[in-house]
Amino acid sequence: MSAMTPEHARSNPAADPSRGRRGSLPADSERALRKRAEAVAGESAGAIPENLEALSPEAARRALHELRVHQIELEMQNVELRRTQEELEASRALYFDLYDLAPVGYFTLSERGLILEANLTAAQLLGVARSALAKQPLSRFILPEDQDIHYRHYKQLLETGAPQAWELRLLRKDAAPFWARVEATTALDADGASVCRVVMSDITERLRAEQEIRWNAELEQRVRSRTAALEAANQELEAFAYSVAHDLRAPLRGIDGWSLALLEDYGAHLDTQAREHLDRVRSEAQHMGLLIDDLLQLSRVARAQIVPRAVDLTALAHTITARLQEEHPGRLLEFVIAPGLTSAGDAHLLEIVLTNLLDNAVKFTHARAQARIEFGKIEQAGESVFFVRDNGVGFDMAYVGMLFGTFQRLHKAAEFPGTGIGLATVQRVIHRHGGRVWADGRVGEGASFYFTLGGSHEK
Amino acid sequence: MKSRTILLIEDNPSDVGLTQRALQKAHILNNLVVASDGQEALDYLFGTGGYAGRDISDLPILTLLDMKLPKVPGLEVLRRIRAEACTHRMPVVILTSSKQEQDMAVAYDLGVNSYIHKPVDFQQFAEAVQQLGLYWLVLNQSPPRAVERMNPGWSKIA
Repeated sequence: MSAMTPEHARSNPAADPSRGRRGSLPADSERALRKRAEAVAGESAGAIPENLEALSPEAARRALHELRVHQIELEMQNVELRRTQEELEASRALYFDLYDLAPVGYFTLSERGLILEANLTAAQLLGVARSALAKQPLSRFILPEDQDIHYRHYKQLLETGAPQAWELRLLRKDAAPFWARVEATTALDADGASVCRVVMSDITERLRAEQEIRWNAELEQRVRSRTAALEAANQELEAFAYSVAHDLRAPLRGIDGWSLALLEDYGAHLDTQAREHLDRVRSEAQHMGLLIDDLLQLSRVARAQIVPRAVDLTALAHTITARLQEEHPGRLLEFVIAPGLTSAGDAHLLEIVLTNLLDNAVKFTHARAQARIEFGKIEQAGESVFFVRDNGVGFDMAYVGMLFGTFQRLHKAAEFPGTGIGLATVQRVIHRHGGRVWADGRVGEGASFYFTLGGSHEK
Repeated sequence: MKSRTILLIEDNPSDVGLTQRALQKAHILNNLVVASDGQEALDYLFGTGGYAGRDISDLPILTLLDMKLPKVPGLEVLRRIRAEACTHRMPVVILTSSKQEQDMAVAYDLGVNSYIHKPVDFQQFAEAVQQLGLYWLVLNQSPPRAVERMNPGWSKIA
């Protein structure tokens, strides 16, 4: 402020944004005015009559009155002037606010595209001082690749006078080019010359948002196509499972059937060892048949649609144990099944779970004079935990991690026949119900298998 | 009286042999006709192709149908059998390796009489065939001939 003359400061309030909007004339300028007034008065001293004494009291009173009136008139004019001045300043401040601090860049361009005026935002957008914009062609700030777009639209604007809008990349000093939207209209300036008024806004954010929308759409498209691919793969898998079911079992049946035919028709010509070999061929073929059946069940369990209903687990266990008792007529099997066990779940899949667990229990108690197999429920942390417990050979907890793996077996095949797929199937069914399954055991002291059925609460 | 035919629709020669063996073991001595694909089976039943001129009123007492067949698949053969008036009451038993649930559901929807899964163990298979023979050839009352019932002139002939 101190470096500027008051006149300059007043004529360009925009140059000093720190200045108050409604600031009155400062004391300095009032003193300066007074000085000037005195100087003028001194020069025109001759205008005051010499013979003041000659004035009649009446004339003097009239002159005094006249002076008073002039003084009041001047004061009123002064007040009016100050008010006008304040209004002007307020208006300039508003102009500064609206024009210079607008959220978009404003340019006034000549027909040739030279920058005649620009607001502060425009200068900020281009990363230069406003003074550096004066008389510069706007095209200087446009990325070479986008010059054509600009040229075409500007030409169109001048030729048709119709408002134009376009998007282009602008160069910013010491920064990466940015995308801007330009809107332009034609106008006449104070001198009647044709100019262009240009509004410029940074659309980086908008483009980023648009890009994000595009990416999202692309992502969704990719998810859709992946899903389709997955469905196709699933169908292929199903076709594969079908082939396995049909095509692999048929030759096995042949191996088994024709081995038996050989035994039946030519048994008399074969010695004991030859007959044993053929028995082994048959048992291997049959074992492979079981493996295929179990694998197919495992894959069916993974794909099967779960139809949750209230399942009477007690009744299910009774059905299965009756069947097991029938299959093992020579065994003394004691089944202890808790009454009233129900849960929401898929009846067919839960039957597979109980069949596998109870079947295992029967298998691993075969050395016991009396097998005791329990199916029951405990409450643990507010959750129903079902269990199948036996007094069989148990297992070493060191290997508990292997129990639920496909083809994992803890016992020799000769001792306990099986495919090593049963517990993997159990686990899959339980997981598909949103539940957990785990086991507890000790060598020689039996095993317990626990499972929950997830959100399916006991009913 | 000439025993009525059993029609076996099966493309695998090993399975044909095993089925024949199982039938013999069960003392089922009916004449066995083997069709090795779906089209041949339809030709036999409807007197077309290689079986042109065959007396098609001579229906098999039992048809054993495999699911996976060359040319015309098993389910399609079943559908055609059920669609034709002359064969639509004929007993058809599916004898297959497939345990696919959807196959089973479709087969029952198409009106199959039984769906039997062929076990790998031949002894189990032989038992199944024996029971099958006992049931369909001895215990079961054959359905009235669809053709005769539907023929409007039948009462006059009688």
